[in-house]
Amino acid sequence: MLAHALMVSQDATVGNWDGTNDNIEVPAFRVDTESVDYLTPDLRGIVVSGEIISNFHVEGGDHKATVRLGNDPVAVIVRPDNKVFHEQMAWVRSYADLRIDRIPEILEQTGDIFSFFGALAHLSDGRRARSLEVMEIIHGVVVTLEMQVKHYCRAARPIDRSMRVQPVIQTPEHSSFPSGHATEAYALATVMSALSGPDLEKERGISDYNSQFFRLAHRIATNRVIAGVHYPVDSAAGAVLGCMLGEAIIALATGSDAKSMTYDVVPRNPKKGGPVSLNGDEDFTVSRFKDICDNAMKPCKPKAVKACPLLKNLWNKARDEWRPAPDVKGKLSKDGSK
Amino acid sequence: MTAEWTDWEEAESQNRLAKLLEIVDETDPEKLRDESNPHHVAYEALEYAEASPYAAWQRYRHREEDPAKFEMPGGITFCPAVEWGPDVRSAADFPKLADDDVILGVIDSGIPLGHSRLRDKQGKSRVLTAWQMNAPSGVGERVPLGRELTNGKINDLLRKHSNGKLTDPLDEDAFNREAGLVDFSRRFGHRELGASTSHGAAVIDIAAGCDPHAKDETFRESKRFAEKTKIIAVNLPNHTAIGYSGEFLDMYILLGVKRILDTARALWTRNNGNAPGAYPVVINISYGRQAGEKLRGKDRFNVALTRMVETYREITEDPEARCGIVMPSGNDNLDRVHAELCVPPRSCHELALQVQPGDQSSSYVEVWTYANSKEQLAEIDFAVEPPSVGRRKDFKLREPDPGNSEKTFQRSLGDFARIYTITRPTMDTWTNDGQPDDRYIAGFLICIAPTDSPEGRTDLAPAGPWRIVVQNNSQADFEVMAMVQTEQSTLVASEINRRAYFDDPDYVRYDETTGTIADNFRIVKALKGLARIDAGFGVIRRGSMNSTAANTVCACIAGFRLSDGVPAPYSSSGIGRKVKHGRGAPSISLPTDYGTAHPGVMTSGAADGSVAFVQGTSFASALAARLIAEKLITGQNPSSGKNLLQRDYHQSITYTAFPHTSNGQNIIEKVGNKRLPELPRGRIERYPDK
Repeated sequence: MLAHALMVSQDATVGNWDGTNDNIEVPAFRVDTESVDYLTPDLRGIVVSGEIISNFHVEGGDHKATVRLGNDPVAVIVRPDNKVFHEQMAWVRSYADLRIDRIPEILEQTGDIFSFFGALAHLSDGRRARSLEVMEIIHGVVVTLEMQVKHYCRAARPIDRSMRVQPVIQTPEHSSFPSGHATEAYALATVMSALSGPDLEKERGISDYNSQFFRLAHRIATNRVIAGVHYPVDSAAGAVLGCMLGEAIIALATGSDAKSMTYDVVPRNPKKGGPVSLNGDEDFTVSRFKDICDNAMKPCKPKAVKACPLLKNLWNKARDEWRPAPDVKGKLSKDGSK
Repeated sequence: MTAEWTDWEEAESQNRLAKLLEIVDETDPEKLRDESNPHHVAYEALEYAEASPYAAWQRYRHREEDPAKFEMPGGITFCPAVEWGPDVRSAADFPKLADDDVILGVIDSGIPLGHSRLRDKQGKSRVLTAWQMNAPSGVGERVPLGRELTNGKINDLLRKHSNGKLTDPLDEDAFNREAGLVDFSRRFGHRELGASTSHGAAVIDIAAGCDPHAKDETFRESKRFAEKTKIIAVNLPNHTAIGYSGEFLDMYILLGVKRILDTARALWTRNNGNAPGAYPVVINISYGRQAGEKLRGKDRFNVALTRMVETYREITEDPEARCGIVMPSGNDNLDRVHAELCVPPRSCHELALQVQPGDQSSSYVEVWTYANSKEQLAEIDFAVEPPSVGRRKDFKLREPDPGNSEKTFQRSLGDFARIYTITRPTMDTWTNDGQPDDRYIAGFLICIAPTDSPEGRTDLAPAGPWRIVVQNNSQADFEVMAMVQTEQSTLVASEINRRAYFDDPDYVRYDETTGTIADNFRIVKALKGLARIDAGFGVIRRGSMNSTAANTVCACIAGFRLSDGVPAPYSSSGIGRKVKHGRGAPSISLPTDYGTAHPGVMTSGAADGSVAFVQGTSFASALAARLIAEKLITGQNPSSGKNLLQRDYHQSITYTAFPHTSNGQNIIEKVGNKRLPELPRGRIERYPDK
């Protein structure tokens, strides 16, 4: 309809045009290597995603996947054997008792976990448009990488082990291990705690895995177990993968060091660090994840990493959204008074 | 189906008591009855379970039980060889108590020990001990099942999960797991505190919760209440252990009451030596079962409970004083689970019992009969007839057998139904409606197997209309009460435990003038009064009250709507007649709903700081326990909790919209003596100082 109207309008107003140029100054379009602000957010996202993902490489086989940042592994995920999943079915059964309580969350989180992070801190196009944008870009990158890890670590879902699981949502066709929801939620928790936290130094400290960001990530992961589509061990591996991907992308955006972690079923010597994976009879809890991180997380100085100026530019704008407005003098006290 | 009823025979026994004698190396069972024997409590609990026909039927249904290991349903292991007495010697385990401190006992499930409203300003727990009945037994425990956390142990755990400092934020999930409050590792572990609401969290917050940082008396939860009230919590076992129809509820409640009273007694002795006196104790038990003998207060549970309370009162040397039990009236009023029959001479009455399809747990009906004489009872025939079987066979209750007066007898219909005698005919004298009454009383219990089984059981009972027939061949009226026992699912939304109900064409479900759900009474505006809806006999609401509260030692609390005083339709009612030892009506009513648009009352959710709306008389009961404790800590009124509420608590208002008495009708059967406009403390309502 609009096309027809424009055609008629052009025909009526142009008169006889022989194709000559008018005297309008043609834009030069000088290439800005640090910003793609001229694009709409959707297109910016595609460009920045490409910049980020060109630094990652996933390799795998034999139920093991390694995610590299440049040349260096930042996450190694090793799938447990069937015995562990078999034993973990007891947890799936126990958590099913909470279904009636969690169904609203489970259903909403099948397609949207952002709203739950948006309940922790104000995320909207008006208030923190760039933060929302960078988080959406990172979420997309994480999904792309996590699906490759799932492919190499393919594991049967609870529904494949018993007809009595009867999940309350449809079981996805991709691998149970590691949990995609756990990976994404923990990656976003890592990113959001960095965005909202103090200024990053060269070496970023360890996140507070007891903070609201990570408690929410844990709940999102656990809700998938309650729904009947995951085991706690999927959540644990997803949490490791998500945190390491989050840290790696923060490193690309800020120039800080990354971190690396291995989720492995090989028992460790307790003197060299405790177990870094769940046994079949272990549940995934906030405190257990903290144990895993304490034992397994290492700093990582990735080499052969390509600069990500577009991400950096976007990140800095997002960071600015979390700083107090310049016209606010002094901090508010706890009771709200100046 | 060709199943035939068998004749009466003695109910089988697993003989746990004999096994207990072996375990504790005792030859004389009488020695175990002695309270000074460290194993007497285990003996009494097992004896109680042995004697219950409910338990007998459950044992029959659950053959996988191993009596040698004392495995109870729900994965509970009963360890009778432990010594019972509470160990209160360690000063680190118990805070200092003043002589006038009040002990508030709460027996419930899903009690959250980490909630800040159960802690003081320094972050220390106000809970003296918490018996976690469902937790795995620890080494050296002095309780026969689960484990007990002392105040010191609770504080240690709170500190451990708060970065070593009691006032720091608590990792509640980690604390709950280590304290045994939440357990996903076991099939029958507790899960309530993993959900958004928990019965125990709602109850204990109303009964005992206080803002530890309350600065003044603006909130009705005064600092003094928090300082003077010490809590003893009993977290009951999982729902499967208790039984969908509360088959083992009585046993666990009695163990809990015994523990609370023994702990209170032990602490007094520790602090005061042999000086006379005892701490005032109020115990809330927001549990119960609908069916039971409600008129005489002489069933096994009520006798045991009364004895425990009286024993505690003896210590105080004041028979009226300082030990109160509070229970709810129940929420069964509209469930068509109570019937009163008066069968005329030479006539027959049939009562239809709808046993529902898709029911994966047993159904129970208790029938209590009241004959004028032994001769009349001999002229009564009973029959229980399944649908579509066509195998009715009349029977008579067994004659008294002096040699076997304590034994339970049963008749069986194939594998899917049994009738047990609860009490075989005995003459009893009690006061009914203020008049002494001599009756021959007998009761029997009809047990019906599940009608559905996902495990492919073949002994399923047929669903549909069963018939209970009473044929009166005598020359006088014959009275019968029939009650369908409580049946609840483990999970809130589960539909697999479907309660049977009496199906009577004369029962009025909806008020024909308003279209709303009919209660015992309706308001007749033109008359500015009330009209009774319940018929005189048949299937009625009147009498559906919690049988567990049918005794004289406890207060029984009903519910009403705060906005206009209308009794909560679901709130169970008494029979409305005075009975001396049992219970004819609730003690009082407290609000269970704010208004028509705001059902329920506000209290704590499962997580610390969360809020939930809950509806039911459980929460009125919890508030009553708090009111009693509030009065007791003032020291103004030392009388028993029940009397305090009925006689001495003067804050009552008159509701003109729904008067207490009008046009000859008295709603005491619904609301008891008065309606108190009290509300749970410290959630929304901000009260002016009075």
